[in-house]
Amino acid sequence: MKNDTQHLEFLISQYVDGTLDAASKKSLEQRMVVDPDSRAAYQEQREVQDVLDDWGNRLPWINWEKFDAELTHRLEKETVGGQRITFWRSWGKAMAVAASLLVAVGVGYVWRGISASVNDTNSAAAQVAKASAPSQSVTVEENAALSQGMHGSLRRVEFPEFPKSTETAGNVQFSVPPDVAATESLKQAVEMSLPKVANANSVVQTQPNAVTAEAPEKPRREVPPDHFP
Amino acid sequence: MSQRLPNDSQAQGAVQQAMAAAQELALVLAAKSGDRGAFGKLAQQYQRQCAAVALRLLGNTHDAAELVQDALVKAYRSLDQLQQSERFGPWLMRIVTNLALNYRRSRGRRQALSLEQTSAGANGDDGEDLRSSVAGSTLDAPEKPLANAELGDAIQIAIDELPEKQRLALVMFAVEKMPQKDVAEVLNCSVEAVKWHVFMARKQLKKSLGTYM
Repeated sequence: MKNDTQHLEFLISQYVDGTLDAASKKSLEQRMVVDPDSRAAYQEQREVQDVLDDWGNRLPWINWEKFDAELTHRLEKETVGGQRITFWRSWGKAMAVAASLLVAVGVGYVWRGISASVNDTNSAAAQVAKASAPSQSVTVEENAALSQGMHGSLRRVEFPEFPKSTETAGNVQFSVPPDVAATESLKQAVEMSLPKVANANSVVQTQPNAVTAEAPEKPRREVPPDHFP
Repeated sequence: MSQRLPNDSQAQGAVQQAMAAAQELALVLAAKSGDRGAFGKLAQQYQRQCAAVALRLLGNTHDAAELVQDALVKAYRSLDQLQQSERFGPWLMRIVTNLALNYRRSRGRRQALSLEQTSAGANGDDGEDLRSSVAGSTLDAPEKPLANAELGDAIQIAIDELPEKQRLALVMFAVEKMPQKDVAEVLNCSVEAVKWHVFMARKQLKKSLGTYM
């Protein structure tokens, strides 16, 4: 019984909404003519719908111009697909290029400074000379003992990468380990460095793995006899 | 068996409807390719209906307008996920209703928390009054255009108390007159189910508004 009533009310609901099919509509209309309960149920639902229609027809005022302006502004930052257009997204590439250029200029500047300091080997007693041999450098330093001693003005020339040089009278011998096939490079490096060293006039390859820088001997100072004890 | 042929005005209406649908489809396709102007036109076409539904669900014009903006931005962002370009309207309305439901849930939590805090600091008897004043304040003063503002408030409160699907079906179909097919699409149910939700909602509303009718 309850189900029948609910079914009837459901049909009436569709009738109120105008969504009932033609056959059911005709059948319901015939029933309402003879059935006061059906008519009352229809009246109830019609009344509720009328209230809803009245309520639905009254919308509060919305400033649509302002709404459209705000929406346009917000959409400018959006893309289809969900990626927001951010500061980095719009300027990132330009900033990356600018940063790359800045780094390149910086590296160039530093490189130029290093080159200048490497080339400036004449200025001080301790100097760094760039050897012609790749990745070899020669440290040339004043050696007071040698320069004022019996061997005249020969100064020490050291290759930091190589074993300690051995000194012989008037000469300095440089040797490299046998597995380093750089004797010719070593010779060139010493030759390049020694002209800056007073009185070192030749570099001779004395052994397969060694070269000798030869320096002329200074005349010994004559000491007066009365100075002897 | 004889078939009824459509008359001239019906045929003209159908042609106009088809042209409007074709224009809308063109706008959707343009918007999908990133044309913001095309999307702006679509937004203007639907924003009033969206705002009306949002307002009925939230009961506050400011919140409704803000929610519709959020929904439109979200729709633009997600256009690439719209499978059936010719069904833009129901798809947009689904975004609106989902946002509105989320908003209602979060607002409900905030209000419950606020009520708990307030009643903890006062007598327990104040709870019912506070609850009714919160519910009654859902319509702002300028949003009471009905001659009987009290009835408007009562309708809003009664709709707020309906189950979710009944509320949505009633608002979209019985109040905002959206086609049942579109409502079914938004609710992800059959047209018959929409009819049933509307019927049940109206029945409940009759009970709730009994003293006003």
